[in-house]
Amino acid sequence: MKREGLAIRAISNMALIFLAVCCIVPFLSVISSSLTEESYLTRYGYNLLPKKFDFSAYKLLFTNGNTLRNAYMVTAFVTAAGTVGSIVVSAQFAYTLSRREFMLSKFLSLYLFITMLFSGGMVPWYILITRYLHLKDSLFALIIPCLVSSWNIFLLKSHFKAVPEEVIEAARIDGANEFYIFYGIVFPIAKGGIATVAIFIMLTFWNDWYNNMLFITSPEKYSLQYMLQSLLLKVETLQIAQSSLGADVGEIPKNSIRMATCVAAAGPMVFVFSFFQKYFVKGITVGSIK
Amino acid sequence: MIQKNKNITPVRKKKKLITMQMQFLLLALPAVILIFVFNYLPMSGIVIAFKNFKFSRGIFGSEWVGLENFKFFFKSSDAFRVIRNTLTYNFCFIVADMIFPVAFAIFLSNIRKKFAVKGYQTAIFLPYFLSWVVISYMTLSFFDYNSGMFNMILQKCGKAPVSWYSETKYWPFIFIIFHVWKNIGYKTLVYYASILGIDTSIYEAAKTDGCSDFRSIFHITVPMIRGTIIMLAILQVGSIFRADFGLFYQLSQNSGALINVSDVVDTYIFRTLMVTGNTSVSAAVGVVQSVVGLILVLLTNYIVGRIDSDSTLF
Amino acid sequence: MKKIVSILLAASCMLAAAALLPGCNRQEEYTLKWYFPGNPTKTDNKEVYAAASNMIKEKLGFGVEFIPFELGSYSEKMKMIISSGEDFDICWTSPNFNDYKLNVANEAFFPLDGLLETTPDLKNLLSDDIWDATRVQGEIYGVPTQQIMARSLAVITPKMFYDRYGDLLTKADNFEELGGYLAACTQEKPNYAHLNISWGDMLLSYHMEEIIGQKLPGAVYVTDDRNNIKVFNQYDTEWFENVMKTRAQWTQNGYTINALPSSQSVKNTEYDIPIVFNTYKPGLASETNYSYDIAIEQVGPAYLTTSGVTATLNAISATSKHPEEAIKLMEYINTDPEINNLLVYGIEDKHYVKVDENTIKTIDEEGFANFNWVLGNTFNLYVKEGVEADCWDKTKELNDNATPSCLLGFSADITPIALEATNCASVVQEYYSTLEAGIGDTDALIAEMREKFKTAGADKIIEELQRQVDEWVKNNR
Repeated sequence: MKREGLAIRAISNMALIFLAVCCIVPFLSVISSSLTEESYLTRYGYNLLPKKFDFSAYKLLFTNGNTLRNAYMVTAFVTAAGTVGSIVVSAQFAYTLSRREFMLSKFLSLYLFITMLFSGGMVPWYILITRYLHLKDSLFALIIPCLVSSWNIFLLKSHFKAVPEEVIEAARIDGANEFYIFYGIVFPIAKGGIATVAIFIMLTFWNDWYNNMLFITSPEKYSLQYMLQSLLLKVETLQIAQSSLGADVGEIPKNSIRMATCVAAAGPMVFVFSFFQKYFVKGITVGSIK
Repeated sequence: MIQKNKNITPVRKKKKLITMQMQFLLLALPAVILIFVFNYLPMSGIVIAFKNFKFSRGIFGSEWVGLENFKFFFKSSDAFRVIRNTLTYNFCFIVADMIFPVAFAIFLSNIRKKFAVKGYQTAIFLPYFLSWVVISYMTLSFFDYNSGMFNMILQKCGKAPVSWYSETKYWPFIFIIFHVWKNIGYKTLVYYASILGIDTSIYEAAKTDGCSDFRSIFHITVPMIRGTIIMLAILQVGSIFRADFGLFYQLSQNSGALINVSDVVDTYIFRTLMVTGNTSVSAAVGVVQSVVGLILVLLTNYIVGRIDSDSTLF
Repeated sequence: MKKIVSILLAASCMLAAAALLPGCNRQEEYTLKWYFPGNPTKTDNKEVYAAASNMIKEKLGFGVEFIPFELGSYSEKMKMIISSGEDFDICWTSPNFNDYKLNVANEAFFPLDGLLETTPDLKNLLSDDIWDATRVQGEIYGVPTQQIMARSLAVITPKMFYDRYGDLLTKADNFEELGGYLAACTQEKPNYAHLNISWGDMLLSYHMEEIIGQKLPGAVYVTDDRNNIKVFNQYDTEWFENVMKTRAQWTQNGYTINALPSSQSVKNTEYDIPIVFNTYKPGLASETNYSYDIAIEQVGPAYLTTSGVTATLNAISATSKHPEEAIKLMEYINTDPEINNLLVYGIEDKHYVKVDENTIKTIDEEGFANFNWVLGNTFNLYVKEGVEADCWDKTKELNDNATPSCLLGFSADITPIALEATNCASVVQEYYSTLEAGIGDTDALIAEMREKFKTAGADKIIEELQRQVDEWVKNNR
C-alpha cells in the first residue's frame, strides 16, 4: 500500500513537472526577449536566455513613467474595488442559489444562466452606460457593470453546495438568520473555494482592457492592460495605415518593448497569485474541520 | 429537538419560512438588480438581428428586415465549413477540458509538499496571463520557416523543413493543444479547489476498509467532484457555437491557406464585418449562437437530471 | 416569461423615447468637439490643445476640444460614439479606419456641398477632381487631408542592395520586371528575400484599379474611356495567371523562401532582403524607421484614384449642432500654417526648434507629437530635419501630374452583393496568400480558386458593379 502511494506520487510529480516546464518555458522566452537587444531578436528569434542583455526596453517603459504609474494605480484600484464588490454580490447570490430551501433558487439560476447565452451586443450596453448612467470616462464604468459574472457565481454555488447541510440546519434551529449563517458560518468554511474564485475575479478585472478602451477618454485613467493592448494593436494598425494611407506613421513599437509591457502587466498578478495560494492550500484543513 | 419542533405552531412555522425566504431574497437582491440592469436591459439590442441597423437611426428607428440577416449566414458558401469547425473543435475542447484538468488536479492533490503544490500551481497558471497576441509571437518563433525552432530541429535531424503556416493537417492538433495549454492552470485550479472541499475523513474511512490509494481516486475523488465536472461541461456546452477568436485568428497568423481548418463562427463574423460593415448580420449570428447553446444546455441538463438529479445546473 | 418580455419592452421603449428627446440648446458659449487618431498619452497635450483652442477662439469666436485616440482603438471607439448618437462635431475617417463609406451609408455624416459654398478658400484648395473623388451617391461628406493622393507602386529595399543593383530596379516598369533585381540580390544571399506585396499598388503598375478594394473581384483599367468602362474579374484573367506564375518562378529560382511568409518577418535585418511594395511617396525613405538604410524606387505611373484621395478625411457629424462653424474651422486649419504646425509639431522652442525657414528639429517628442496626415494640410507643414526639403513640393507635383482614374468619384454600393462579397472574401483569403508567396502548384490553385469563385457568386458581383458603373457614367454626363 505504501509503495502504491509512492508510485502515485512519483507519477503525479513527473506529470506536473512536464506540464510546468511546458508552461514556464514560453513565459521565460517572453521575459528573455524583453531583455534582448532588438537586432538580436530579429536575427536569432526568441531564446530562453538573452544572448545579449539589454534593459533599454524597461528603461523606456519606466521613463515614460507618469503614464505607467497612473496605469498601475488605476488597475490596482479597479481590481481591488471590483474584486471586493464582486465577491460580496456574487457570493451572496451564489449562496441563495445553492440552497434548495430557497424557493426561487432554480428560477434565479435560470435567470442568471440566460445572461450567459443571450446578450444584446455592445451598442445598447454602451448606450446604457454612457447615456443613461452617465459613466463615460468614469472608473465606475469599469467596475459596476462587471460586478456580476455568471461563470464565477456558478463556481461559488458549487463550493457552497459542498458545505454540509447539517451545519446550516443546526444554526437555523439555533435561531440564526440567513445573513449570519452566510457570513458567520458558510463563508469561513468555503474560504478555500471563495479564494480561488476571488483570484479569477481579480484576474478578470486586472486583464480587462476592452471596457477601458470603450469608456475611458482621459489618458490618466488608462489601465495597464489597455496600454499593453494598444501597443499590440498599434503594430497591426500602423502596418495597415502605412500601406493604405501611404503615410508616415512613426515608429512601430519594438518587439522587446511589447514583451516588456507584457511582463510589467502580468508580473504583479503572478505575485498576488502566489500570495493567495495559502488560502487554497489551507483549504484542506479548513474543509476537514467539522 | 423533536420536542422543540412540536411547540411551534403551524402559523409560526409558516411565518418563519416566509422570513427565511425574505432573507434569501435580500441576499440575492443586489445581484438580481445588477443582472437586470446590465444584462437584461441591453438585451433589447437583440432586435438588431431582425433589423437593418443604421447608426444614425438608432436601434429602434432602423427598419425591420425579418429573417434576412439570418438567411445571410446560412446562405453563405462558408456556412457549412464554419459550423463544422466550430462544433468539432468545441466538442474536442469539452472532452479535453474534462480529462486533462481533472487529471492534473488529482496529481496535484497527491503532492504532499506545500511549496511544491504552490510552485506547480503558479507554473501551470502562467499561460493564462498571456494574451493570444503575445502567444502568437511566441508560436511564430516555433513555426517560422526560416528561423523557427521546429524547423531547426527538423533540419538537424536531416529532414526537410515544413511550411507550418500552409499545412492544414497539423493545425487541428495545434489548436487543441494550445487551447488546453492556455486554460489548464485555470481549470485545474477549479477542480483542485473542489477536491480540497472533500471531507478527508472519507478517505481515512476508505483506507481502513482496505481501499487502495489508487482505487480511492476513482471511487471517491472523481465521484465527489463530478458535480463540478458536470457543471463546467454544461456551461461549456452552452457556448458550443462560440469560438475563441484569438486562438483561431492570432495563433494561425490569420494564414489564408489554413482557412479550411481555422475558420470558425467568430472569424466569419469578423470577415463579414470587414467586408460589409454590417453589424446586423453579426447580431443575427449571435442570436443563433445563443439559441443553439440554450437548446443544447436544456437538453444536457435534462439528461443529467435523469441520471443524477443533484448535478443539474437548474 | 411573458412578464419579463413586457418589462423588457417597456424598458426598451423608455430607452428609445429618451434617445429621441432633443438635447438642450446652449447658444452663447460653445466648443466644438473633434475626434481624431493621435497620441493621447503625450504629456503636454493639454497645453498644446489649449493653445490651439485659444488661437481658434481669437480667429473664429469659439473654442475646440481636440480629442485624440490611439489609432489602434480608434475605429472601435468611433463606432460606439457614432452608434450611440453622441453629440460631436468633427471626426477623422478613412476607408480602413472609422470606415468613411459605411458611415455615410449609416447617415452618420453631414453633407458638405452646401457648406463648402460658404468657405471658398477651402473649396479652392483642392481641385474638382479631388472633391469629386470624395462623393458618395453624389454628395461630398468629407474634407480630404492635403497629402499624397496619387498612387503608384513603390519598392522599398535595403540601400546596400540598391546601391549595387539599383539600375535594374529603375528599368522595371511593372511588378514582373522586378525579377532582374531580385536575381541580382539573390546572388548575395539566396532563399531569403521577403516580398511584402501591396496588392492594390501592384495592380496600378498594370494600370488596373480595384473597385471595392480588399482584394475582392471587380476591377477596371484606369485608362478606360469614361464612356466605355468595362468591369472584369481580375482573378479571371490571363494577366493574373502570368503574374502568379512569375511569382512562383521566383520561388523556384530561389529568390524567395518556399513558405508562407508572415507579417512579422518584414522588418527584419537587412540581410533578409525585405522587399516591400508600397505606395510611393516623396520623402518616405528618410521618414520611415527601419533599422537599416533603405532606398525607394517608384515603379510604373502614378494615378489619382478614389481610394487614394479618400485615404484620410475629416467629416462633420450628423449630430453636430454647429456644422457651419465646423466647416469654418476646417478651412482655418487647412489654410493657416501656424495652427496646423502647432497641432502637428507642438509649441516652438518647447517641442521643436527651427533650423531654417521651413525646416525644424523636434526636441521633445515625448511632450507632443501628432501624425501629420490627420488634421489639415501637410503642404503647409514644416519639414523635419533630414527629410528632403522639397518633399511637399514633390508630393504636390506628383498629385497634380497623376492621371485621374476613369472611376474617380465612383463609389460602389455593396449592399445588393454583400453575401457574394463575403463569400468571395473567404475565397481570396484562402488562395491569395499561397499564390502571393509563390508556393504550391500555381495552375491547380488558380483553377480551384476560379471554381470556388463561381459558387461564391463572383459573376454576380461583376454584373452588379458593371450596372452601377454604367448608371454612374450616365448620371455624370
